[in-house]
Amino acid sequence: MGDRWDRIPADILMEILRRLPPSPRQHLRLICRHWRSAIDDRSPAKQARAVVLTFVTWRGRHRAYVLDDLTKHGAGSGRELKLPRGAVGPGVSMVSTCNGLLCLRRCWDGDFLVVNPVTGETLAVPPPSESSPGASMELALDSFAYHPETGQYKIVRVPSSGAVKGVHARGHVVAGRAGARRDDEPPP
Amino acid sequence: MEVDKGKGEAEETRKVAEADRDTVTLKSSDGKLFEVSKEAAARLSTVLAGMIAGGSIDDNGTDLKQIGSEALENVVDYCNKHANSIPSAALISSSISFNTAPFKEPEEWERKFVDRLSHDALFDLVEAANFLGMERLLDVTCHKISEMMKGKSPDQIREVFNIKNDYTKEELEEIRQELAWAFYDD
Repeated sequence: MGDRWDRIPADILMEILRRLPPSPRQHLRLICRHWRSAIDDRSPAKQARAVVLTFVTWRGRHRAYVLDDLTKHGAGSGRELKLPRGAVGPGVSMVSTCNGLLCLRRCWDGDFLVVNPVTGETLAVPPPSESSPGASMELALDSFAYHPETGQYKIVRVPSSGAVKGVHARGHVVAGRAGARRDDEPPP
Repeated sequence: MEVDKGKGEAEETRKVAEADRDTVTLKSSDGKLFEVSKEAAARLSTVLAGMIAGGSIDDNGTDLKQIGSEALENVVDYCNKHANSIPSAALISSSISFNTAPFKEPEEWERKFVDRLSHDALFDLVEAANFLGMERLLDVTCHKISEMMKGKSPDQIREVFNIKNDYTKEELEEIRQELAWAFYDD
């Protein structure tokens, strides 16, 4: 019955396959070449390949890296990114990374610094108004995220008391930089 | 005129339809003739609707050279069952209310209709439904085939459908690696 499938147009094959959940459907790319091309040709365009952006502190030194190609064992490549001034001082720790942006917490300055390590651009974000810089900052949990509906990046602080105290939105300026980041493909 | 002695229910519908002279005669690739309700054919098949509207229906049997007699019998059977089981008003309202759903679930009788088919007959029916522009029948048959794949590994699917694996070992490994790192959100 193998030739049956040859007579089924690729559109109909996809009609059949799209009734399956996405993940099992992707696994059907393993069936044969014809199925793979039917699935690949008719699946939504893949997003640009994700690379890992990481921020490490070791022996008092801060470094940022992009790691590429984690799929190849032992052959993955990484590259150190130059961190701008202000991101390398003492008391700096990472809140999170998002879309190639680094969000750092600066304990001594009592603020946040959003960094685009590729372009070197930075944006200092003051802490929520009701909190004072200094000790209280150490006790809070911070998060940095992108909201796709509004196109804004937000820093959310959860103080140690448990209540969400303040929300910072510094949307479009940072969002524009993220766009620039995406155009800049790390070298292989 | 040679009329296929089809299924009992289909036969009965055919007699009623013949009495009304409201049928069209379809001719399979191997020359067998089938009669189907003109109303059902026009409603369920965009191609037949076009032929009926355009007057290209042959009273001695409209040639459907791409469709074998077994598949055509199933098409006709499906049309007649559809005409019997669902009044058109109900069909219209159901198709409106389910318009936003991604797929219309097959009705109980439609499930039974495709469940009794062999693999070969099922695939022939998919082809015929596609050729005749029968969206609903295509839905039902595609649904059935997808159900046959559910919960099966690629190896099992190849076995069930007798598909030849034309990848090299290296290619398979490469695709597996891609899958291991991929996330899908659709």
